Amino acid sequence: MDIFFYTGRGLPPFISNSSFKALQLALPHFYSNQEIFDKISLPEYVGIQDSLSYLTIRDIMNPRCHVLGGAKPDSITVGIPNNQKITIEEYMSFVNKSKVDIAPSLSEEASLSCGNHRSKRSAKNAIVMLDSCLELKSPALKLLGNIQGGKDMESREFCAKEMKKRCVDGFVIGGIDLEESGAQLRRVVGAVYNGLSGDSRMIVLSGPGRPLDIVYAAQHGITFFESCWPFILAEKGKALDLPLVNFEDAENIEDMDFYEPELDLNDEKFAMQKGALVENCECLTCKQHHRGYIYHLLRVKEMGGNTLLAIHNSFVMKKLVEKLAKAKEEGKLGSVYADFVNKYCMGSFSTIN
Amino acid sequence: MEPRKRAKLAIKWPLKFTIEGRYHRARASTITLPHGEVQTPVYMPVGTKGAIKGVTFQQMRELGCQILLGNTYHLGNYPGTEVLDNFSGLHNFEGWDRNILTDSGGFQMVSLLKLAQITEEGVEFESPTDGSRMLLTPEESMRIQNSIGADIMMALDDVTNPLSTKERLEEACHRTTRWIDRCILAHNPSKPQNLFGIVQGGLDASLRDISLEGLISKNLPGYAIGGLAGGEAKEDFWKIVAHCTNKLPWEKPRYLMGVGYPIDLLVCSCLGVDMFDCVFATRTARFGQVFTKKGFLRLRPEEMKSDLSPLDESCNCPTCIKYTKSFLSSLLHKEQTACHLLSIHNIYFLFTLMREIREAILSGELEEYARNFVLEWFNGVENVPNWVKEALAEASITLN
Ligand SMILES: [Zn+2]
Ligand SMILES: [Zn+2]
Repeated sequence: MDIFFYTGRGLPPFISNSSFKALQLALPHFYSNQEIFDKISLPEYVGIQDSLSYLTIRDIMNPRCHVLGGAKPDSITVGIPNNQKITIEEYMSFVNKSKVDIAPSLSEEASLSCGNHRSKRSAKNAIVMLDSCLELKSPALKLLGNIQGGKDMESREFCAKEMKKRCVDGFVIGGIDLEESGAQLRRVVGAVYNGLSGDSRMIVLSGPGRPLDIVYAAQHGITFFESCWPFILAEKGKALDLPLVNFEDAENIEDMDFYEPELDLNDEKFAMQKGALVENCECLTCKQHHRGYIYHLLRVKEMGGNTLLAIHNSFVMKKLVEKLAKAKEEGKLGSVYADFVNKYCMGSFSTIN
Repeated sequence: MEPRKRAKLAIKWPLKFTIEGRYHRARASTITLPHGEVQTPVYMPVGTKGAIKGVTFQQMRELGCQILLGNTYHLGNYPGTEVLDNFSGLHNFEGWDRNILTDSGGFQMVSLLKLAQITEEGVEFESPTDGSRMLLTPEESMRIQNSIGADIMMALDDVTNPLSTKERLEEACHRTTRWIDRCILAHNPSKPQNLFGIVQGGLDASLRDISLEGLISKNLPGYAIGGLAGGEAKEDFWKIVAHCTNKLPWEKPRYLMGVGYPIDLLVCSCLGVDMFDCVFATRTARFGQVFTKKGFLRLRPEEMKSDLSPLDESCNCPTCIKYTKSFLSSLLHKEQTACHLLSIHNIYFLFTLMREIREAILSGELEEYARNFVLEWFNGVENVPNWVKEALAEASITLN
């Protein structure tokens, strides 16, 4: 179980010396200069050859980076840099040459807000395109079936079921946009969970990777998570306020909306506060810096403040997934979501969006 | 918080200066300060508002940084002395356990603010927030610097454009000396701190003498050479530096303010300067320019698209070990973290330069080192500007 932390061009936002074990790389930023990957692998080029590299077809943080398909399941069009059309052959040639560790099969991204027609089409086409990708893949590459279907739960389940029959290395639940979180996302995870019914291959959840969604997904068989959430919060001057001690028992609360507790370090009340962002947190930020200092850096618009928050937030996410992995090992994932909500998200923060 | 103890008139400054080696005018020394030792010659990166642009203090520690600079003017505005006092000073506030030097705030005011005016009382200026008239006196500068708690404070000086009239420049020298007394009197520390005086006098050696004489008599723990790095001719620049280092006490540290071009660091170290600060390394990185042994290098994304070599073949910094010119130039103006990677390279470059100069002084090989550096930097003896040759000759170093 692990997190693929977000990068667009190989560097996570705000952090220039990251040591993340698994990282995303967004295809559109490297596609036009791909001749260079005849000489050097993509992970080596961006300096992450010691980490697990995972290619994404879009750049989730870039609002212009839609990935559109057509009626024919043979190509997609990526929004950046300039509506680049990419065929299956071109895609697989890039993927093989770049030598990333893991890549999804080619597919359009049908988000949870797109219409019925596109939701259904995306699932059907994704299956056809997966078969073409499988024929072209190099043996070293781990190819993931890219499960689409938008918000249509039948299509999602159908897509998962079909892909389960294929000789893929794993799956990714695609089409989860930056804004997606909460009940609808949990239903998609549920549908895919039904479709894959206990498959032991790796399953990645795309999207922002918020703590609550990750906890829910972990309980439903997902093993890897895309996450840019730590950096989105850091950009806003916010810290995840999860002290991550043990979870407690709780009832079923899957259809209700909850939010992760956060600290907004822009708040003047932090100006004089000493001590760590979150008590007992062992991240570099919390061990070495005061809340008041981070407030100050945000106030004078020094990016160092965002950097320290990004370090804390990504550390908390890493700890969260470690806890989930341990709970899974011990067979204790059964009620982990409810426990988590009860433990952390029922306080005064739970009503803040 | 307890009231601070008034400083006694005869202050015992908490600074130990040990010269470990010399090469003619150049020295290699150790300055022992309240937050540890500083090996010289030393380049001090600038953390204007309590942070180095894009580089965490953890990274600065890993790069071997022993002393950082903070700006009194900015820190006095934000977070302000109330916050700094609450956190018992800047070290604890920003989580930096090594040494800090602060400027007096005067230079920043005169250069940043419209309508700054200097009178015997202090520096008068218009408040950037509400436009009201404000006054930075030597006493106020010391009050803020005592709150910051830097290991080395700078005395407020009468900052003057070197192109002012001789009368004005002379007035500035005398006033700077008078203000030193007010600084010492106002010095009211809650922890050990040192005060350096700043030699003024523009580009006129006789005026510099007036300033030197006034300051040296105050028996301060160290001295800075101010009023340079303002676009003066290089011939004038090095001659004033040489003039000052010649007359400043040998057994005390000398700090050349605001100078940070690699070649200037080399030349002035040879002339006997121990400490330097400059924002140039980080500022120029933001525009995609880096130092290499062969001079400046500007990143050009189109040209460097297929260039898989590092910024500088001989550099072992975290950036050069990991990244190519192709990758770094592709990030330019697209990823903020890219300029941090360039900043780290530039800071590392200057740290390495200073360390190598120090080693060369200690091993008696400064002439050879300086010669190699200059010839590589300018790509051949025929391209070396005259002022470099003359300045090095003054330091008993020839290029052939
Ligand atoms: Zn933390
Ligand atoms: Zn380097």
